[in-house]
Amino acid sequence: MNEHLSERLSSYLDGELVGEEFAAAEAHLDACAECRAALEDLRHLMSRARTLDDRPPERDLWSGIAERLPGATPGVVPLRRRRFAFSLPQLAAAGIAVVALSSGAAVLLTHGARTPAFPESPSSAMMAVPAGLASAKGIQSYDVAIRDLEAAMAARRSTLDTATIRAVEQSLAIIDRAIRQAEAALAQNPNNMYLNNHLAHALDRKLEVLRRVTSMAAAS
Amino acid sequence: MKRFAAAVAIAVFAFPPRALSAQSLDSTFAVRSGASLELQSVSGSVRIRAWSRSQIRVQAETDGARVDLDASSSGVSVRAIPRRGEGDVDFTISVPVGTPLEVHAISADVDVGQVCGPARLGSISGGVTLVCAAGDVEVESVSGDVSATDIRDGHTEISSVSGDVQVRQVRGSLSAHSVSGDVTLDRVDGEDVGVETVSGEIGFSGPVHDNGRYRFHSHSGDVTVRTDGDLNATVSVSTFSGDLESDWPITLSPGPGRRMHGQDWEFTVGNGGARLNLESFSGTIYLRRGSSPRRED
Repeated sequence: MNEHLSERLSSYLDGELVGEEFAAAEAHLDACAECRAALEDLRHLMSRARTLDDRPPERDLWSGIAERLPGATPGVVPLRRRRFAFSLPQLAAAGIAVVALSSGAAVLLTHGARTPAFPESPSSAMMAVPAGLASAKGIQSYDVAIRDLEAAMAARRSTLDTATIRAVEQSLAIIDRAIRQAEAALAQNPNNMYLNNHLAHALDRKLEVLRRVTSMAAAS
Repeated sequence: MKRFAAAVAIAVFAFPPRALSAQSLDSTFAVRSGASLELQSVSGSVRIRAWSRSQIRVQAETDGARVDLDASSSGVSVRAIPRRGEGDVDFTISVPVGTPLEVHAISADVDVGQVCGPARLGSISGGVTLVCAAGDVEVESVSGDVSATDIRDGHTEISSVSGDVQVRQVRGSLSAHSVSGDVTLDRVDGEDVGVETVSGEIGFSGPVHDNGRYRFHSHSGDVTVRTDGDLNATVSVSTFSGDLESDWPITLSPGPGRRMHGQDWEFTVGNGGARLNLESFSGTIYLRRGSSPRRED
């Protein structure tokens, strides 16, 4: 079988292949189930991205977001007009990034107060992510944000009663378990977009819980 | 009209900020239309009800905590401050119908009824109950149960980390979250509904509008969607080790995104107008006809 389409998949999807290139891609897709599946994943990803609101984040938030997102540059790119060009190994990372942006997780990244680490905070499950995953950069961004929020929550710990601290820690443990299960499933199905998205959702949940607890403790 | 406004203003400013430490407190403030109530409490209870007067009445029973009151043209602010380790205050507050509310508590239960305005209510370890609101609503707790009933014309955001989330009779967009608690949405009528839990179960009943977007995501909990009448939706179902049970016929149509791929399905019911996104990593996803739970559910 010929070499997989890889980077040419997004060009194929964008209608940029013509003539012999297009015919060769069509022929390859007919014969290669792996590339067909990757093409579907890419379509799905682009479909998800197109459903996102164009509304830009607040400008004052963007600088904080940009600092944390690998490769991001200041400024707002309207998602509907964005051209998606993914190679196969980038699909997983792209899935994480789309979910992170769409769920507001990026906004949460700006909330982290830089206070000393909380020694009793749950260990970050993200550290266990296989190093070979293309989404590692996205995971690292989550990891930094989560560490910041864990520290912020630690600083507010005295505001919370022991029962609440226990409830929060149990909830974080539940999320960490979900993260580990998603990671284990991803290890078996590294190209599965649902699993990539699901992992991102679980990470979002953890960010959201930390942010919510911290902001509520601060408000009270 | 001018004389009335002046009289109201005088009534409001006749009560300057003050600190009280008595065992009980009962103060009433005349307020303008649209005046808000802000309350910060620690422990005890908060009960807020509507009445027909253009006044906000604050009654408090305290075991030693200080209660600060501040009235201005924009509304009344109430703050309980613990003293010598005593922070319990039981608040009973009456407000005009439609008063915007903002309540933050640490361990107090918060109970709001029939005010029917916008509301932001939160208690870290207490439960929060809201009956009747209009406009944007935010209800949250960390370890307590939260419920919202009869919410109209706005966006509702409701969440608890470890408690259950219950929502009934909501008209408008809705976002609900929990980690380990169950999320139950009963008679929710909106075109933008999103629910996420990690280990809790999700139950939804209500119409699925043709141009609506509905997202129900759980990690290990079951997801049950019950709809009355016709269903016209493009349904995407994602699971890793869970199952799908549908009362509606599932036809996998050809074309992008319509084929079965791993544990990821997309299919169309009716004209496919609505977007229905159902995910459970390891739970079962039920797509049911009718709004009433079945015995096996």
